Amino acid sequence: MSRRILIIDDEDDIRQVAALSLETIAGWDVVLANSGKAGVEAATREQPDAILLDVMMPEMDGPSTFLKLQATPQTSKIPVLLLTAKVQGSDQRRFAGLGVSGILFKPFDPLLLSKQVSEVLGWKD
Amino acid sequence: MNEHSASVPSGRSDLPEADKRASLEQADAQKKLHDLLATMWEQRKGAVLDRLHVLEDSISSLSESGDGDCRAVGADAAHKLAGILGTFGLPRGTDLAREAEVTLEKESPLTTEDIDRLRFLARELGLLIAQRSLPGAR
Repeated sequence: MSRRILIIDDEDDIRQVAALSLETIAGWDVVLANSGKAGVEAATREQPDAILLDVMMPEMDGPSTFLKLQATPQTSKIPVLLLTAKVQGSDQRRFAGLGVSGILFKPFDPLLLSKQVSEVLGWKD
Repeated sequence: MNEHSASVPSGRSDLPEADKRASLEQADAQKKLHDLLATMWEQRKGAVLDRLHVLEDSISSLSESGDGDCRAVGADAAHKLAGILGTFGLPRGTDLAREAEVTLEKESPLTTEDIDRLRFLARELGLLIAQRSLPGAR
């Protein structure tokens, strides 16, 4: 089943690698946004099946972007997976406490990213 | 054919036809992604090196003028390197960059030993990135 995924990350390399991975391995459609603000706009417009959201971004970081998505009626039901290079337990607990659907860690394996997304979200296809 | 290569999906003869086809398609997709990532690495290597230079500059500034904004700048560069290097097949690069990030984010002032270690980490990162560029290295 084809899915549409929105990737919100200020890092060009991460956006491009994740997009290549999801498009090539899983055949999913990918939409890209390079900031929290652009991400909220894209989510509202594109209505993706899930959002991969970077934590550390300038101006509007991942947690702030998530709260904005939650507060926006058109995007509040879209599952959000945080994407972070922070591995310390205190950071992980803080992120989990936000109510996101899951946390994926950088660096991710491009060959396995779509499988990890599917597993966390319980997608069987 | 050794045991490892025998497990590659394209060699499976015990699968039903549809599964075999899916397995072959998956192997093709993986090869295609591998090639695309190799091309992307060559295109993006310069930006990765730029980030390493930011880290190196911040470590040099630490040596000359002590703690300051350069710690935050260096930690940010190290954080980004940690995030991307493993994705491009350099997991040790992620470990080295992460150690640099954690050191730079310490709440206490950095010691001479810390700064020496940071210099070492930056040197190792430079070598790893250079080696990743060699044909066949991954």
